Amino acid sequence: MPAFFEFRDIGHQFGKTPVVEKVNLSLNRGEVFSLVGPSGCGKTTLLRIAAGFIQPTRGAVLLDGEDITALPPDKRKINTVFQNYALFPHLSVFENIAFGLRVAKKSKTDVTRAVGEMLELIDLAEHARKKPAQLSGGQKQRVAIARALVNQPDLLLLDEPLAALDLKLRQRMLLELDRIHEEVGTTFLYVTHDQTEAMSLSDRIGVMHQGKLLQVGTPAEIYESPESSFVAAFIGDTNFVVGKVRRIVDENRFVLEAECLGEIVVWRDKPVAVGDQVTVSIRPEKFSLQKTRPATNGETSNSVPCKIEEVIYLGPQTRYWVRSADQLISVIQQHANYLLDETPLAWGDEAWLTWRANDGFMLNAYREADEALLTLPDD
Amino acid sequence: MKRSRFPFVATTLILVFLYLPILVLFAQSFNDARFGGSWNGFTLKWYKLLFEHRGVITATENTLIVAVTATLLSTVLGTLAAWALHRFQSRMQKVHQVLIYGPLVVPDILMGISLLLLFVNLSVPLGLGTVIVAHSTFGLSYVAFVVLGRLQEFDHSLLDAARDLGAGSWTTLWRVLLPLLWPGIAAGALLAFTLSLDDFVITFFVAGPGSSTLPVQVYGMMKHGQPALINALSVLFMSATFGIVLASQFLLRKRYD
Ligand SMILES: Nc1ncnc2c1ncn2[C@@H]1O[C@H](COP(=O)(O)OP(=O)(O)OP(=O)(O)O)[C@@H](O)[C@H]1O
Ligand SMILES: [Mg+2]
Repeated sequence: MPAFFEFRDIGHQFGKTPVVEKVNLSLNRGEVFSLVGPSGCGKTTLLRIAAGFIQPTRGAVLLDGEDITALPPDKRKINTVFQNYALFPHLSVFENIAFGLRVAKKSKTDVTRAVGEMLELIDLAEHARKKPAQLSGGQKQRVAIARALVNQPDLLLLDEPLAALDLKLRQRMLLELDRIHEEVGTTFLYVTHDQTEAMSLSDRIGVMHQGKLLQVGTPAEIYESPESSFVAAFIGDTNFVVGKVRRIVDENRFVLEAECLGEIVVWRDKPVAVGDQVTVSIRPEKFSLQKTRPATNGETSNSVPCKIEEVIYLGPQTRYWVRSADQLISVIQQHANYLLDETPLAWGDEAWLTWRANDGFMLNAYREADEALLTLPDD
Repeated sequence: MKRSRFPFVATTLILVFLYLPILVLFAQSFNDARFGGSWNGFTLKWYKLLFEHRGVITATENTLIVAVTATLLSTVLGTLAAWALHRFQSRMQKVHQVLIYGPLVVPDILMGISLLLLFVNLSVPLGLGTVIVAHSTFGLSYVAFVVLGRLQEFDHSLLDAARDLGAGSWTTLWRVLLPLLWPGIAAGALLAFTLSLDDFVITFFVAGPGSSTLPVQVYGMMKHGQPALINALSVLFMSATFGIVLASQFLLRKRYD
């Protein structure tokens, strides 16, 4: 199937500073795709290139097989939901939604019908006569979405549409967005710096960093098999274990001489050779923490002694920082019945940290700078 | 607790201070005495004489022609100037801004003299045309000033939104930019209009024979000792100006948020 929408080798610079570099991305018809990345990584720039507000310094934008790079925004079948809503303050909710149809010189009956349908979709029919200033943040957001969708765009661009809302409202709007997408089936290109937002909404995610698209995949792929230390640390939290390959056990496993933890078994999903320097990412929730030494066989799982340095009770789970040899490790433990546990692990306790070989994931690219993204105990 | 009477007293005193002279003028315009001083009974004769006075009629016509034309010119030019200043950022922008605001702070008499010198050097005959040009120069500054204030709080993503929804430049201008700037433009225009009506100093320099406006005419009548007529004229003139200022205040207040 040919891509429905495509960024082909897009590069852009403002003046001399490159802001977007070598971005190649294809969207399928009807999917929700999220671009996530830290502030300033070029997400908005990429979205404005898709909308036509920015002419990329290199590369092409394709919609439905057609090169639209040179088309101005008003000629593209693409609409945008702006971060600050950008509703027209002098027009009513009805007229805001009708704007695109009126510009396209649709007949009166068509406008009334289409806007009516949109008002139903966003559940604001009784507010049609109000001005934007009389609406709440969530309502404005819904009007902005309706105003874009009423034009039946091929692609809907959303630039951090929920950033201005509080947490509870954000969660409600996420469900709402999901429902709207289900009803209209439009392709969504969604930009956010909030990875949980992206994970819960998207079919696929693209992680951006410093103008580059680092990795594209389903939420599970991105979370379970990040390719670089940046993706591993930006999407969720993790631990990095650095070391040298000591020996290959079989086609699935090898032994790593870790700088701090000693010899550990690691899942081998990429080719490695003895002596290679590798970094393994292990998510905090993959560990299990016990008071007594578990009976592990050292072939398929690892077990190291450690000391509890910090305990944070979070409700559904508890977060620990434990030190083993010289490495600080972040651990998350779910608890079913916390109060029934005779004595929960506390600060200063000795314990055993266990994980399976395939809980760790080998990274292709590691940069020490990405350690800064990890959650650390504050002291 | 006893409410303080100070605000009431102060407000009354200030109003008396401001409006007593005007009240005297108002009363005198109905006084059947040539030089005021004593009250000789109510009359409308000064108003009647006024409407028959040739000089006053011509001056009124001139004033209206000048005010309307100069207002149109300064509104269009002032709005364009404000837009340009706001949109096209450059290192010279601050300088341009100061240059546009110049006429707001330069004493009228200097403006008058410099304009007169310019017209004389270019051998432009003084007349209604020169008055219109002069009034447009300062009117433009006021319009630009007011519109720029509006633009400063204008959300430019609205223009992006309009384009995104399929509107070309003209449609965006008509459906989004002008409707939102309109209160500012109108208030600026009214300000330019009243200033043009009121201006004496600059007009005095650049008006030729037969192109006097009302303020210049009043000054002339002062010299020829017709105070009672002037009272009546001033009352009418002031009422008109007052009405326009009120209207402009109302327009400026209109906001969308
Ligand atoms: N018009 C511009 N001129 C110069 N530099 C710009 C311009 N717009 C953006 N930039 C720069 O380009 C980089 C990327 O900006 P962009 O707005 O795309 O980031 P973003 O990923 O959307 O960030 P955020 O999450 O904060 O919105 C930033 O370093 C920014 O300073
Ligand atoms: Mg952005």
